[in-house]
Amino acid sequence: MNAIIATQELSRRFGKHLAVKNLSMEVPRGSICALLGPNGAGKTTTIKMLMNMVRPSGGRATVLGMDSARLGPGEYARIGYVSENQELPEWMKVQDLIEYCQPMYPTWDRDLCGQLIRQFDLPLSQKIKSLSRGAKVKAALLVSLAYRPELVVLDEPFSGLDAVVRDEFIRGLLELGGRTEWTVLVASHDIDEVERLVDWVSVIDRGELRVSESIASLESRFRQCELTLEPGQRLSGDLPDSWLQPEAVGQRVRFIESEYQDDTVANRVRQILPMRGELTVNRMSLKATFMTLARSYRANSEGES
Amino acid sequence: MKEKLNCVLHVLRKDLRHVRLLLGAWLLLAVLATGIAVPFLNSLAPGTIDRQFALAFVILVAAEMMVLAAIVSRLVHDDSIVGSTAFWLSRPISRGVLLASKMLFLGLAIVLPKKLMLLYAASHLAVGDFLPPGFDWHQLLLFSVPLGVYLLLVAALTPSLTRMMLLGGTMASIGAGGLIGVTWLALHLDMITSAGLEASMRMGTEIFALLGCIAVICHQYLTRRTTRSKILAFSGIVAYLLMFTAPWFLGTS
Repeated sequence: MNAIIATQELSRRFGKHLAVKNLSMEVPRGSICALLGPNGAGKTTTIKMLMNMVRPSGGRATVLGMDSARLGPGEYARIGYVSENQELPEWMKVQDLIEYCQPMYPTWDRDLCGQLIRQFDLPLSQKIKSLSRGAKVKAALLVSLAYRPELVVLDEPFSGLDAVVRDEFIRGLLELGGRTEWTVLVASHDIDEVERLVDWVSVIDRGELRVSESIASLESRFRQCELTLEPGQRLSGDLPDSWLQPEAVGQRVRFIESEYQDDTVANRVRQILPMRGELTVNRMSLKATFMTLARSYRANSEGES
Repeated sequence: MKEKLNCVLHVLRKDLRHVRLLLGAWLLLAVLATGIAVPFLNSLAPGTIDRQFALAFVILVAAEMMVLAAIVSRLVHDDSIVGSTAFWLSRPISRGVLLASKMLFLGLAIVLPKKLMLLYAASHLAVGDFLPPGFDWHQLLLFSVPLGVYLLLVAALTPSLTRMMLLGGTMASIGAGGLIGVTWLALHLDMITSAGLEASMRMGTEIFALLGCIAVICHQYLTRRTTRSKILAFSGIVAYLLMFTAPWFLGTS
C-alpha cells in the first residue's frame, strides 16, 4: 500500500492514562479515510501526534514520508488541518485571515479561494469572533483548502454544526476532491457525518485500533444473518468468533457475520446450528456495521474487566 | 533564508496590527512618565521630593507596566507556545521564525523606544542627585531591558494573561522572598560588608538575569517543553540569588 500516513506502535500516555496504545495503521494515498471511534477513544490525540502537536510517548509515525516529530514548514505547506479545538485568530476579519495565510503558501490558488468564499457564503468584512460556529469552521476550512493541500486532516469538523451547514461542508469537500489529487483523514465519533465522504475506515476504541480497511471490504465482510432453529434446539454458547452479537428470541436467532463469504456461510451455519428453512442474509449499512463493532468492543472489554 | 525573513516580517506586521492601540497607549504613558519626570525632578532641590508628584509618577509607571504586560501577553498568547490548539501550529511557520518575530517585536517596539527615552532622561537628569553614588546611567539602561524580557518569558510559559500574572507573581515572589531571606540571614550573621555589596553590583547579575531569561525563552520556543522550561526558569532564580548574594558571604568579589 502506498501510504501517506503510517504509524508503528504509536502510543501516548497522559499521567496514568494511556490515551493511545500501540497504534499501527496506514492511510492509503488518495483515499478519504475516516478515523472513527466514540468520544475519548483517542482520535484527537492520534491526530495531534500525526500533526506534531503532541509528542508520542512511544512508537513513531510518518506523514508525507517524514517522521511526524520532524514535520516542518515545508510539510505544513502541504497539509490542511481543521479541528473543532483549533483557536482561530478571532480578532481578525475573515479577509484579514485570508491575507495572513495567503503569503505562507506558494501554491495558494486565488480562484479556488474566491470560489470557496462564494460557496461557503462567508462575510469577509466580519470579525471571526462574531461568526457563528458553522461560519468559523468554514473560514478555517477555507484557509486550509485554498492552497490545494496534498493531505487534509479534519478533527471532528462537523461537531456542533447543523445538518444544512454540514451538508454544505461535505459538498464543498466532495466537489474539491473531484478536481484535486488529495488524501483526507477525517476523525469523527458519528459515522453518519462522514458516510458520504469516505472510502476507507479505521476504527479506534479506548486507544486501540480495531479495524482499518476499505469501505468496500467492510461492506462485503459484514452481514446480518437470521435463521429459525429446529424445535427443541437452543442457541449454544460455543459459536465462532466471527459471529457478533448473537441473540435468540424463541426459536428465531439473529447474529452478525463479520467474515462473510457468499458461498460458504449457509453451509457453515448448518454445521453449527440445526436450523429449519433458509438462512436469511441481509447487507448492512456502514452505520449498522460501526455500531456492531462498537458494541462488541464494549462487550469484550467489559468481559475482560 | 529570504523566505524565513519574509515570514518573520509577516508575523511581525500581524502582531503590530493586533497590538497597535495598546502599543500607542504604552508609548504615551512611557513618554509622559519620562517627559514629565525629567524637568520636574530637575526643578527640585536635592533631597526634596514632592509627595503628590511622586504618587502620580508611581501610578503612571504602574499603568505603563500593566499595559506592557497586556501587550506582551497579546503578542505571545496570540501564537501560544503552550498547549496544542494554537493556529500557527498547523501552519508553515517554524518555531525559530516565530521566536525571531517575537524578539524583533520586543526589540523594535518596546526596548528601543524605552532605551531612547532613558537616554533622553539620563542626558537631561542630574542623575547624581537621585541615584546612589557609583550608580551610573549605563546601569539604569541595563535595568530597563529585563522587564520586557521577563514578561516575554512568563508569557511564553503560560497560555493566558491570567496564568501569566499568576506565574509572574509566583516567580517574582520567590525571587523577592529568597532575597529577603538571604539578606536577613546575612544581616543576622553580620556578614554583609560594603566590599561585598559593591561586588554584588559588579557581578553582572543583571546581564546574567537577562541572558537567563533569553535562554529559557529560546528553550521554550524551540522545544515547546513547558515543564522543562519552567524548571529552568525557577533554577535560574536560585542561581541569580546565589550569584547576587554570594559576595556578601565571601566578603569580596
